[in-house]
Amino acid sequence: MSSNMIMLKSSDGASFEIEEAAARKSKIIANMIEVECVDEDKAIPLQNVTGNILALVIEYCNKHIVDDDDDVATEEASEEEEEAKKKKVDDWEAEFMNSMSLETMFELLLAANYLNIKSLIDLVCQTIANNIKDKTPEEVRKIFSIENDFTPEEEEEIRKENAWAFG
Amino acid sequence: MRKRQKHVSEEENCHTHKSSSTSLDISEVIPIDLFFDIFSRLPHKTIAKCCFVSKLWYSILSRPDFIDLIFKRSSAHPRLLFAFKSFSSNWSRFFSSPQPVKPDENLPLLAVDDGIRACPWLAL
Repeated sequence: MSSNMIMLKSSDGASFEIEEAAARKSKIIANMIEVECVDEDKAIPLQNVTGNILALVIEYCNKHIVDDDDDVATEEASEEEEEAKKKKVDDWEAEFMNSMSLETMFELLLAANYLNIKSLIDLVCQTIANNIKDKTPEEVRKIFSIENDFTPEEEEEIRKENAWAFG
Repeated sequence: MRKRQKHVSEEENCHTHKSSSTSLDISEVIPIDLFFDIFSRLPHKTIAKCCFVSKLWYSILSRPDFIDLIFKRSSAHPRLLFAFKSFSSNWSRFFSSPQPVKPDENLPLLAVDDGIRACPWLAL
């Protein structure tokens, strides 16, 4: 396993050490490594990511780099083993997302977008989508603390036009 | 240099903190492409319901670029879309049907009236 370590520095000044292989989950950092922008002695400053969010990003990357290594090591794994492994990752991801508030989810999504980590963007987007799925407008408003700014007349008018969706 | 960076990061922090603490409304907090990413994962009926959340959501979910995105994703499971527009009164009707994979199968063409006027993307 590669033992190259990289330093990352959050916007609020916290430093984190991360394996290069894990850091490469971020396309931005991977590109910086490719063009040799990364100095071993200096931390990469991440202006848009706070320490608590960067810690979550690193936890995610570390978890998934281990999984990727497993993939290489067990190329001939049986279907059952593959399924068991996938379930393990899914369970970990579910627990990872379950533990955070909506606000943290938003910040994690923004960080994943800034760092360009496609699989993490997918995970957070899917989790938020699952929270919204099959909810009524009232329930969605409650989740996101949104006030209904439709007048009853406006709402009724649109409701009439789209009655089938509420059947 | 170090000092300047710190100053900048404090400003960023302040901005991030402000935007996240004043609103939990996802449409105001995250960029539009991520908002679209989330909503393109939802069933059309849920999107239809979300149109009623607020005027802002209604306007975002009716945007042509979002409709286009939904259409592109739907094209993985192609359907035929028929649109009828009345020029005398201001209404239109959409019908959709699964596109036959083998044209020579001669399956009966079933069309469903999706009955949409206000949110045209719902028919896709």
